Formats: sequence, structure tokens, C-alpha cells
Amino acid sequence: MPDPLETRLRELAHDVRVDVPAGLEAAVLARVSEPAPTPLRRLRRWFVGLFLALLGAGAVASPVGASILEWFGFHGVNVVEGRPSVTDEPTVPAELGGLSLDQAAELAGFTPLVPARLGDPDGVAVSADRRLVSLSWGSGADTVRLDQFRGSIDPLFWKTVDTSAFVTVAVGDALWLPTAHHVTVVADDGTRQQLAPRLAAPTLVWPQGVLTLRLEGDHDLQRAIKIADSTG
Amino acid sequence: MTISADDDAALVGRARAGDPDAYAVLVHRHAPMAMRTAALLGAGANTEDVVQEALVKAYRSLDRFRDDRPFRPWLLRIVANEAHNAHRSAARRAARELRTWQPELLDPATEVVDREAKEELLAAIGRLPDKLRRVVTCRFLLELDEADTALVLAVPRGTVKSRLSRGLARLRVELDPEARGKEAGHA
Repeated sequence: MPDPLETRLRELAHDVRVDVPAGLEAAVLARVSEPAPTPLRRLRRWFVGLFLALLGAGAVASPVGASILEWFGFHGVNVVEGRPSVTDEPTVPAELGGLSLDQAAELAGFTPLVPARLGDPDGVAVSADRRLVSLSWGSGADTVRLDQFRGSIDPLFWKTVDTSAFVTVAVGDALWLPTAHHVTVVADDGTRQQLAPRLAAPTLVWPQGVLTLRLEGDHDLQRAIKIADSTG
Repeated sequence: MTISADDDAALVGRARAGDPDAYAVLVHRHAPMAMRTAALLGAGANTEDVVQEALVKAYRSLDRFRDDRPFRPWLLRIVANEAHNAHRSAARRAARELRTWQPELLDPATEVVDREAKEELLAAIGRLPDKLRRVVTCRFLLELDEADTALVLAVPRGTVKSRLSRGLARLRVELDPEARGKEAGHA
């Protein structure tokens, strides 16, 4: 005997109508036929200023020369979407610096945030220009790394990524880069020293207060969000 | 004319090779279900934007589409993700205003048998907790089978099963005719 509730639900389905708006198909086809795709609208406001600044500095060329398919920025992070042409395994360098968190805070001028979920870091380091604090946990393939810096300064990272997605963490929007991507760190202390690009593991980036945090490790989005949510 | 899934795979192949007409056919074919999915999964007033965004994202992800799988649930998964994101950010802004369905889901212009009872059922589904509502919606209002529901919502099949039975159990309590009979008796 058919279940009466299930019958009602099936009947309801036949009465629900959602029309396709007249301009939808044309809008989609116009967008997919553009050689350089329109960036997501909600991201544009973050990016335009950065992008122009980068163009001015001649810095937009991506480290692997991938075609710029989509781009957007996020505080101090600049993401260039394209296809990494490499197939190497990404590596997460452990930060073997032996500083204490207090020493790092003094050098960088801000107190580094520590995710409660990861506990005290195994390594703490501050970049030569004192803008970037890096914490790390574990070693080898299990390394988890958290970089943080004041979000208001110039873009520090360039990434070439295949996929990216906006997700939500406790403090707001975050950017999830699940596939291996290239990162170039520019130590902008006047000398524009450029470090060797490397292939980064899955990464979650989010702004928190005046800082931008970048969590990297061989974990899935769920775990990354849990770590982010425990950061304060 | 029936359309087989084989056609979809062939069209994806042509679209990947740079044939814009092939993607136009896929968009035309799947836009109605994409709109329905976005609307019923809570995209609310953003339904059109959500579907547009999802169809563009799907195009850019065609390289990752696996030819041996059906296209529709793959596309609907992207739609469901976009709808979920839109729902969450809208919910943050508008303090869960979108919990309720858009009333025009039941076409106001046409005759609907038992309209009142159907509106009541729709509202009851709308009050279900997110996770249960999404499964009930996929299985019944979108008429997806268990496997496709699991794919679209990115959860294991067992989870679809258990959430569906919990969702239906809740609806039964909400729609209990005895409870309703008592209220009617007071009126």
C-alpha cells in the first residue's frame, strides 16, 4: 500500500513550477564564450584595486606562465586561476625556526594566532622582512603550516590554481584551494626579493581581524575549517 | 523525443573540443531542472544568479567531468553547492528569512488541487532542519533517486537513507491529522 505522505509529496512535486527566466541561457552562453571569463561578481570588489596595482608593477605574469583564466584577490593574497603544468607532489615545508610565540610577536609587531585544535606549534619563524609569521606542526607528509601576515600590505602570494571555492568559517568568508598550486612569495622590503616558487598543498585562506591567515596541509576542507574555527 | 545520457556525454566531448553550440544544447536541456533544483534547495531570490553561476562553473570544469558518469547529477551537484552557498550567505544577512519557501513555487496562475494542503506541506518541509530538508527535497520534489541524491548532496547513500526516514518521520508528526483535528475542533 502506498504511503499517504509519500503520495502527497509526489503530487506536490507535480504542482511545483519553476520557470527558466528568458535571458538565462543567453547570459550563460555569453559568459562562457568570453576569452577571459568574468570573475565572480562578489569577488571583484576585492580584486580590482590589487590587479591594477599588479599590472602597474608588471607583476601579473604568473610563475609558471599559466594562462590567466580567472583571478581574484583576498587581502594580501592574490590568486591567479589557471592550470599548473606540473605534476610534482606538493610539499609543505615545516618551519623549523625555534622562536617562541612571544619572540615572534615582538619581531613581527603582531601576536600570531594559534588554532586551539593544533595546540602549540612545533616550529615558529618570522620572515627576514618581519612581515610574515609561520607556524608549523608535525613533519614530513603530515606537516601542517599556518602563515599569517597583516592583510593590509601588498600582495604576498601569487598562486596558480585549478579550482578554488569560497567557503565559510567562523569569522567569515574563506578561500579554499584544494588542488596543488604554485606559490610565489615576494619579500617586499624594497629589494623585491623573489623566493623560488613551490607547489603548495590544499590551502585555506581567510582574513581574521587585521591579519590574513593561510593554512596549508594535506587535509580535507572539513578539517581545515575546524582548524580555522579554532583559531583565535 | 527521449534524450539519452549518451547524448549528454557526446555533447560534453564536443563542448570540450571548443564547440559552443554543444554547450548551448546542454544548457537548454538542463536549465529547467537546474532552476528547479536551485529554487527548491533554498536559493530564494538568487535562483537565477545561482543557476547562471553554476552553468558557467560547470562549463569551466568540463575537463573534470567523467564521461562514464551521467551529466545531470554532476551538474546538479554544482547547482546544489551554489544554492547552498547563496542560502548561507543570504541567511547570514537576512537572519534566516529564507527558511520559508517562495510562495510562487505553487504556480498562482494555474488551478492546483488542494492548494491549501499543498502549501501546508511545502511549509512543513521548509521548517525541517537543513540536512533533512535537502534530502526530502531531492528525493520527492526533485524526484531524484537515492544514488543521484547522494551524488548531488555529496553525502553517502546510507546518509541519504537515514536522513530521508528522519525527515519523513518529522513531517508525519508535523502533519499529524489528530493534532490538526483538535485545533479545528476548537475553532
